[in-house]
Amino acid sequence: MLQTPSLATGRWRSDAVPEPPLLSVRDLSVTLPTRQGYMKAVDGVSFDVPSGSAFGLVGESGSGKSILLRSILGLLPDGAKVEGQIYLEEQELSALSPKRRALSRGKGISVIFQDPMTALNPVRRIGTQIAEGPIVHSGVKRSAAHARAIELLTEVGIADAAEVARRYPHELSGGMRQRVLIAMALICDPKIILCDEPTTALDVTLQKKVITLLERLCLDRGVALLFVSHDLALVSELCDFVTVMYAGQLVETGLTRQVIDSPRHVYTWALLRSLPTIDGPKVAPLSIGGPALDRVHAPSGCRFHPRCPIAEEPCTTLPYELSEVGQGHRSACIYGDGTLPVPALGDPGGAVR
Amino acid sequence: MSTPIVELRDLSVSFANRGAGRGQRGRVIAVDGVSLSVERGECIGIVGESGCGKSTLVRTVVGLQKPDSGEVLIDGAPVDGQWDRARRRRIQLVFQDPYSALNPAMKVGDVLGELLAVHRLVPRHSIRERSAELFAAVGLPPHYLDVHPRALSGGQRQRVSIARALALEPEVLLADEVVSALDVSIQADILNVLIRLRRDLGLTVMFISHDLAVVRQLCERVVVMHRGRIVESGSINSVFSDPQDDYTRTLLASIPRVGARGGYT
Repeated sequence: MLQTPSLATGRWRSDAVPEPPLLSVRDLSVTLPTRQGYMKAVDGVSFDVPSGSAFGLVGESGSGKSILLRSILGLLPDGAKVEGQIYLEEQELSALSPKRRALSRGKGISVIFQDPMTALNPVRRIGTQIAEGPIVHSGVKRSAAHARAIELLTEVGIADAAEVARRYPHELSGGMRQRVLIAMALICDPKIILCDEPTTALDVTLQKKVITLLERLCLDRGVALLFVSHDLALVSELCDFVTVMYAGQLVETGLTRQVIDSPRHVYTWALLRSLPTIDGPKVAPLSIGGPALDRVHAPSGCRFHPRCPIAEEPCTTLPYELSEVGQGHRSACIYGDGTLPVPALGDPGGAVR
Repeated sequence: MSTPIVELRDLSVSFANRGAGRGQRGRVIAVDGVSLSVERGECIGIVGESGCGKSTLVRTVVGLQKPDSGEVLIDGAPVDGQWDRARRRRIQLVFQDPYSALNPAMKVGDVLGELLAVHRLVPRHSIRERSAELFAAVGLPPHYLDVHPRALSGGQRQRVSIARALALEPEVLLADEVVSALDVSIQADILNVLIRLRRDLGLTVMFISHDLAVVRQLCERVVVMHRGRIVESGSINSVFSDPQDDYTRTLLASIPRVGARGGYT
């Protein structure tokens, strides 16, 4: 399951020599209180992020992907119950006291949130906000931290960084604010940055620029990314690994190529088919119909079965199990062993962008 | 050729810049001499990045914004700020954000009922029946008429917004970034609703988006806007296969593609 970059290509290979993962999540479950009762937002999730890799986590709204990301950071709402372990290298983050957990954020592990409009403090200058990290975490002098902030602003492609550092967030455009957040995430030299839909609030041209920037800044200096998004196309462009999440569970995980070229879960296939096409003939995108997700009363068996076009009787009862379907490629679908009756459903490759 | 249902002639709109940035006072030109005609029954895509003026254009077409110069013609007749109830009915707008477009205190059935009553479109006793019909047209079951917006998902709310626009039996539907706030899988749902409505009702659709891939699904013709001007227009196929303008090429290159990252074994 563990991979390292091959020296020849710098890309990830399934047959490479294993090394210990950077971030390791084991049997993580998160239960949240809601008005309708307790909801298991994350249900028995395990995965490993190798150091220096880009790891994509895909799921629709309500799949639990953002809660999963927040539980890794230790930023869950009050009343949330967490079970399982989270390791960053040798350290078990989930066993730390809240105070020490807070110190771990920013330095070893850092985050870029979705909405650049609300993630910045509106009454403090950009430069001051970026410089705060090293002052708090590493006891760096204010002037040195400030100089570093300006350096990083230049690196994320902001011209006239010294001037921008003196501005307030409302004076910047959405794209510039997202660049500021990237600079802020990088300033303490983290080992991994968690990204929660960092480009959803941006239009496609800016999205492209931000993704290219993330790729260049993080992957070139060996910072790993855990990238959460609903857009499988976007994730497949950036990430080495793709994991698909549905109703709090991982349903498919593997190298990006494996998951995109030969999806082994009907839900992954449906996600691929729902993307609008830009090459080849125009094909109507697939609507994933069926009842919307009820997270308090999860369906029995495979949780996707009420919406699955080819669900069979065993799908309603068989317990959830993520099983190996290829080297490092795992799926929770009963069709996962290669018999996904895709021709009956239409071709997810080719015509789809 | 028949009269275009919507025609814009050399339309310009500008705003006073009250100085967000330093030393940038003056006027911001949002729409700069745009001419465009939309034929009856056509689906036209208007594409561009944030701030290119596409939303201002939409607001001007429905009369929410006065142009500095130029005119808007509906079915050959200039509007000149004369928006009476009958004229407003002919063009309806669906907004981007399904979370703020619906009154949270009203049941979604009442949102439709109010419109039907104010415009006296059906007798009072058949309002509910007509509302259920409209819901059926956008693929919502009738029992959703009795819920508040908060009980609905983003995709369902967007369906309600579309049903609300359809209630007035418009000839033109103006869809302003209606899928941008939605998940990719839900996007497909809403696109299919629009495709079906066009086919069944012969609606004219003006579809505004920043995403050319989405526009391709729905429209035959596309107009690319950049900095308030139209930089390219043509059939969707020719724009995709042979873009003429640099900006169009940038837009096309920005669309994420499945599996564009190569080199895995």
